[in-house]
Amino acid sequence: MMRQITLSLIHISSAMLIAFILGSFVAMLPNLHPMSAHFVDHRLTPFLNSFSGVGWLFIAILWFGINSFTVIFAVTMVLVPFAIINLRTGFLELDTEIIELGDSLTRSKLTNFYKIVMPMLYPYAFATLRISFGVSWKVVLTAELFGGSGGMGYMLNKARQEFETEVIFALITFMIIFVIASELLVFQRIQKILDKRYHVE
Amino acid sequence: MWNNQIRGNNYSSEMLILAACGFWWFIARDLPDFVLPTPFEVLTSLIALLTDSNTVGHVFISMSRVAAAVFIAACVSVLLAVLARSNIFFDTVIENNILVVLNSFPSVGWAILGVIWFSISDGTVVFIEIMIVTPFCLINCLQGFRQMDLELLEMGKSLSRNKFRNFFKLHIPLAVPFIIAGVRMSYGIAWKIAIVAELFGASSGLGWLLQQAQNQSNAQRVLAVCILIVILFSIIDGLVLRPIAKRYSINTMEA
Repeated sequence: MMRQITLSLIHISSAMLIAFILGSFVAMLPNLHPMSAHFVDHRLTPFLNSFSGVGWLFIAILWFGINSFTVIFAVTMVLVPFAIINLRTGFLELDTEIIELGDSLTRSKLTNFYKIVMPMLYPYAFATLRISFGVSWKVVLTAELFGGSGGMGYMLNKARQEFETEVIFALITFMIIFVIASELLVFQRIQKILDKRYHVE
Repeated sequence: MWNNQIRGNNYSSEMLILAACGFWWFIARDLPDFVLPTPFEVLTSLIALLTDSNTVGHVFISMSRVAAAVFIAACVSVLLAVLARSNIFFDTVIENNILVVLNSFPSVGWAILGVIWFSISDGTVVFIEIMIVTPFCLINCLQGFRQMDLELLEMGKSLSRNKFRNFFKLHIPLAVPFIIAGVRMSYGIAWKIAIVAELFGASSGLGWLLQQAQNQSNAQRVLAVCILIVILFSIIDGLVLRPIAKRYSINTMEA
């Protein structure tokens, strides 16, 4: 039981990490090449955003077979549009005056990026993680149920086939408690710290 | 000059799409069909899907289920939001208990429970989709009814004692932008996630077609159904929901 839960957690955290990296890369593209802004905003994001999660899952099963990689791939593809939308907003809302100030203080692009651009993006990065966490819990079960060889979705499927409704309820209850607890204990606290630091009312 | 630049950007993004399709074709050329079919094969499969009288029915079944689920979810959310407004007790219960639990309930959970409770039928699918979609709609509706201009409501009260009249002429129009936003969001979620319902609870619809295709390792059909879903979503969203949202939007809201 504990092993399956850890496996689910590993699936979720790796999908969140990969989606975050991919999302930030895509969100940064328009800043590097202004020509790609239209493509990212009006073609790529709407496409990814309306692509069915089950579709990704089935494609992944055809490509990679039934294993953890399939699960992580499917969850990642569901999370990527959320990451792009959030981080792209972050890049658009950057305070250009502060960046200009940074440019006039140092020529080093790296220093500027780490000391000025990154801190301004923290709230958006955090929002991305928070949304990803909520969505990935919803999706990971489906992915594990069809394409996984372990994890809570796999257990759910076994319980379903043996008509053990009490196990199904137990798993669902555990998940709800886990999600609510991490929301209250982790995310809301960090949000409060961020709000204070960034003077959000 | 500015316009030209924007138009240039449009062209370049269409070119990027073409380039992506070319890249897809280039990779798919040497791979077997069940791994990655070429774009042309997916296109023929898509056309076959839409012209075959057997499969086109599934498209309409899925669409009507999604429409029914989104409509009922919107009605339930508005009702709950009105209830929350009317009484502080309901407000805390709905906000802190119902919404939180619904929001963290896994979608497969509803699918499995729905099938166990109601067996396989159209009603089951719609039930599952409603349960998945409702929290997204509810968040928006609650916000809509909370952010109402209190001065306008006071004015309404001083003009008429009739509560129904106030509700329909004042509360609902003020909340409509938020309700529409909720409906748009639920519509997207319904196509993206709630399709799961059809994998468990039905032997018809696009979700079922998707599963059939996957069982037969028919990658063309899987990709064709996915692209069809993207197209269906964009058509309805662009032609129906977005114009409505624009029509009722407050200036501050992004249409």
